[in-house]
Amino acid sequence: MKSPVLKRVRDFFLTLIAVHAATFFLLRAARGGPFDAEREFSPQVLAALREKYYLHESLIQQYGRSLWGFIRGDFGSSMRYRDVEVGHLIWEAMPVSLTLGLGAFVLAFSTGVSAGLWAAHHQKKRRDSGLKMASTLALALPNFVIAGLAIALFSFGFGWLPPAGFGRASHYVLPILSLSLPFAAQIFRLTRHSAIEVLATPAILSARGKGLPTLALYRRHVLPLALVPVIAFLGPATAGLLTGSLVIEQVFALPGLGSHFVQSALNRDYTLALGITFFYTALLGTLTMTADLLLSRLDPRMKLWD
Amino acid sequence: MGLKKGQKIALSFLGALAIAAWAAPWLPLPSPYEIPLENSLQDPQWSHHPILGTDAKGRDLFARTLAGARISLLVGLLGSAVALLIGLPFGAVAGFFGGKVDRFLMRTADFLESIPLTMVVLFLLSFLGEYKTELASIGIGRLEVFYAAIGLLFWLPTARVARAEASQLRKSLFVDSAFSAGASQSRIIFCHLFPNLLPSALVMLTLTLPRVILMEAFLSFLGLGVEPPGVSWGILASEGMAALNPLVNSWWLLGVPALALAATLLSLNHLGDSLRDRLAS
Repeated sequence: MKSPVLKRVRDFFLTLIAVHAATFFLLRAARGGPFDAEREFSPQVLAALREKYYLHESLIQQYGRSLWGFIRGDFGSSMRYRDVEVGHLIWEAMPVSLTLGLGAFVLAFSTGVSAGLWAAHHQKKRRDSGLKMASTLALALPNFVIAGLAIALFSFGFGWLPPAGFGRASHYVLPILSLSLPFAAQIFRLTRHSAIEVLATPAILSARGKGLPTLALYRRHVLPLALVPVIAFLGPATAGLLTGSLVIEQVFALPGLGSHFVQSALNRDYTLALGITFFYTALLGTLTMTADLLLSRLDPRMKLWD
Repeated sequence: MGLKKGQKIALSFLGALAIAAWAAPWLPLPSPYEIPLENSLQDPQWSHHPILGTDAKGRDLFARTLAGARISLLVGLLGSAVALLIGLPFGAVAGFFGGKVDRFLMRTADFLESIPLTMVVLFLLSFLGEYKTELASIGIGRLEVFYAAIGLLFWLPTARVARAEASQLRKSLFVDSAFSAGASQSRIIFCHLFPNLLPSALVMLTLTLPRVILMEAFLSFLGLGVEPPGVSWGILASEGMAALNPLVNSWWLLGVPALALAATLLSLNHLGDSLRDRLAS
């Protein structure tokens, strides 16, 4: 393995296999079968069910079967919603979560970065400290409280937006807003901090001395360097958005992956929970790798994957 | 060692809150748990009882906020302490020994960072819920499981900071001289390394605390944290969320816990940031 990129990809697949194994055995070790909440089954039905889900096989056999299925992209069928494939459930819920997550991501990134640059440009003035205060406040509240305040204000107060539900585009506005706010605040702080550092370097002074217009200065010299810590934060931010979406989807009754995950954990729906965790891990890994690649582009000093 | 105005405010607020939370059971307040339904949903009166109003079950919100502070602060402190107890030795060992040990330990940390750890902890909490009676028989209650689970979520940043510090200290003169004086490795770690890690451990503690308190709120909201009738700020906030509807305006049920959380977390964040800046300079 010479190429660092290949090494990185190998590590990614090792992680996936490890996560699959860990969740698989964790879920099997948990007490309470998937059929607990139902009425009593006759032994024949129970046996048939066990056969259908291969619960009669040894643990190792089950593990092998599950891993083989994952490799082929088949996550098995849900243990709760009997006739539904987990892959199908994920596929169905994904557009909802993707819209929510991507929307929050884009919103947090764009507002955070632009507000950060703006504040750095006006540093130590009142607008700067005002934005700083607002960002610390946004970081000091759980996102479901932010969601609650947003509902109270925009739905019950002004009556502009629906408080919950699913189907129209307006149903996404409040969830995206309340999911993105803490991350926008975090990105704002990172951008502001690094932009102030970049602005203090001699390179900026000489670019200014040569008469570069402010906008071009920011676009060409400040932004790329100021973005470095922001890009490095993308991995943790994605993880945070995934966790945040668990709660936000619950609050706004959106039928996304997060709701499915919480339900599957409560229902002990082994296959569904396993599938979603695996899916999230793959997503997180892919995004972290992309972020690292971007980083080495932005800052050539950065060593790519030692 | 002069304190700035913001730091003074933050410190005195946290001190007052801690004392009030500790003394709450002896204060002349209505019980935060009893349910006098006839007092249901009274507005905040500000100057006299009920100062912050009552909830749908008639319980005094001021008393419940103080009772909630007890649990939230306790979870915060113990959860961060667990994170510190795992992260500090982990990072110190990695940084001190370097080489293969370091690579192995940091690989483990990288792996843990690349998975959605919160979901794993969610699993753990819901699974351990199944073994409640067994755990209780060996003296482990729900809250203890909770502290440990939260500690598992937050020890990684602490470990990274401890590692960076330890590998710096490893190269310092006093460690060399301790070696040449014949001190054993464990002696150097315990007598020379740990005391020097304490300042940054304090910073990490202050910065982890607010995140743990937020996590408590998150888990309690999902029904996997503190369970009613136990009360914490997370429970209060999610009860406030549940009371949110367009017909009956009971804003204080969400507003009061939100304010309590915001004030506490702002103070902690401010203190943590200024402590870190002071150490860095």
